[in-house]
Order: sequence, then C-alpha cells, then structure tokens
Amino acid sequence: MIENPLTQETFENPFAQEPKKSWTWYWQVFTGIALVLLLGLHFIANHFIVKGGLRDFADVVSYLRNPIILVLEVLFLVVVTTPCHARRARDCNGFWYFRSCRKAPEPGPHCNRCTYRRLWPLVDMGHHSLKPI
Amino acid sequence: MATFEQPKVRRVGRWFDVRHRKLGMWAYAINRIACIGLVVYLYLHMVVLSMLSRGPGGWDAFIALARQPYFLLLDVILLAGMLIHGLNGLRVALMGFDVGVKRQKALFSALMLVAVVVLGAAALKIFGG
Repeated sequence: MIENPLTQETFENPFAQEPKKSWTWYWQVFTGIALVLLLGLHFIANHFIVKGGLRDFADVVSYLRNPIILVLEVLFLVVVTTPCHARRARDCNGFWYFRSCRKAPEPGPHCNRCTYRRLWPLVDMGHHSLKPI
Repeated sequence: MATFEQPKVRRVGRWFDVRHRKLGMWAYAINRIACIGLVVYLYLHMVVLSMLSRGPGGWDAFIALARQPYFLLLDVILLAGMLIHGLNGLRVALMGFDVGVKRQKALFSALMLVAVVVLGAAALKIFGG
C-alpha cells in the first residue's frame, strides 16, 4: 500500500508545506507584532489619556517634543511604511500584505512584480506627505 | 487547472466569498478586508497629519470637526479593523511557527472575543470622553 505523502497535518496547516521560511516572513511577523504594540501605545497616548480624545496643535507640538514619544512615532512610521533590509528591499508589512492578497488566488507569477510597481508610488506619496511635518 | 481558466473578476471574488465556507475562510476574508481598509486609512491619516504644517488654525479647525460623534464612530470602526487584523495576524504568525495549528479555530474565536471586549471598552472611552 502506498502511503499518502499528504498527512492530515499538511492539510490542516498550509505552512507545513513550506520547507524553509523566508526572511520576508520573519520580517512580517516582527513588524506585525511591533505594529500591534506600537498602535496600542499610539492609541493610548493620542486618544485615551487626552481630554476630549484628540490633541489640539499646542498639545501635538508639546507631545512631539518628548524624545521618547518622537522615537516611538518614528519607529511606528518605519515599521509600517519604510523598506526593510530583508530579501526584497520593498517589503513592508502593509504592502507585503497587499501582495499576499493578490497572490492568494494564484493569479500568476507576473502579478507579484506588477503589484510592487503599482503600490510603490503610494509608499513614496506617504513619505512626501509627511515631509512638511 | 480550473483556477487559471476562471475569469479574473471571479478569482478576486473568491477571496471574499464565504458562502458555505468554514471559519478559516471567514478569518481569511475578514483579515483581507481589514487589511485593505487599514492601508487606505494609513494614507488618509498621513494626509490629515500634513495639516499640521498649516499651523494651529487649520489643525484646530479639523480637530473641532473630528470631535463630532460621526467622526468618533469612524474611530471605533478603525479600532475594530486594527484589533481584528492585529489579533488575527498574531494567530496567523503562530500558525506559521506551527503553534496551535490544531486549535486555530478556537484560537480565532478567543481572539475575536478579546477584540470585542477591548473594542467595547475603547468605544465607551471614546464616546465617554
């Protein structure tokens, strides 16, 4: 009798078919966990401990003058939008996810590159919109 | 393969087609909807933040608008997206490391329960001031 190579675990866990996890996967997990933590801090600092839930201009300026807060905010921005030093220079949590969305229904090998080309201007636009600040 | 012969629109529609599907597919679809919403919001947020460069006048006028109840409701929806996507992302990461694979449905339900509780508390805080 021939043994079925597809074990029950393989059916239940699609990741079990991957022989080796890529750096992009580790990076996405790292940035994902960092985002959950940083977003939690961001929400608490900006919305929950402020009277009325939102900071006015003077509050924002004094808030950003705190060096710890500035580091946290910059870290947040880095994690969510900037390129990482993983296998592909343009991988980052949000946009990598968009690529995953498009890859999921197996649209073809060309699609991955197209998604990057179309989304990268958005990353660039995000950075430019923050420049005046 | 049949997958490649389907029209493109139908293939994309399959991401969100949860009819007659199990909890895993629901988690998959919800995660993608939340992801797309959050990426769109991220750019909206950056555009809003760029108003700081106009000085106190522009920013404080916007803040007065943002304190309206319908804007606060958008805040709650945003927080729901973050909680769903963030907590479901943790589940996916755990599965990627072969942790809790056999209990992934229970884990999803538990995390969504956590999301509902945190969201409820946050909504009370947001609307309570």
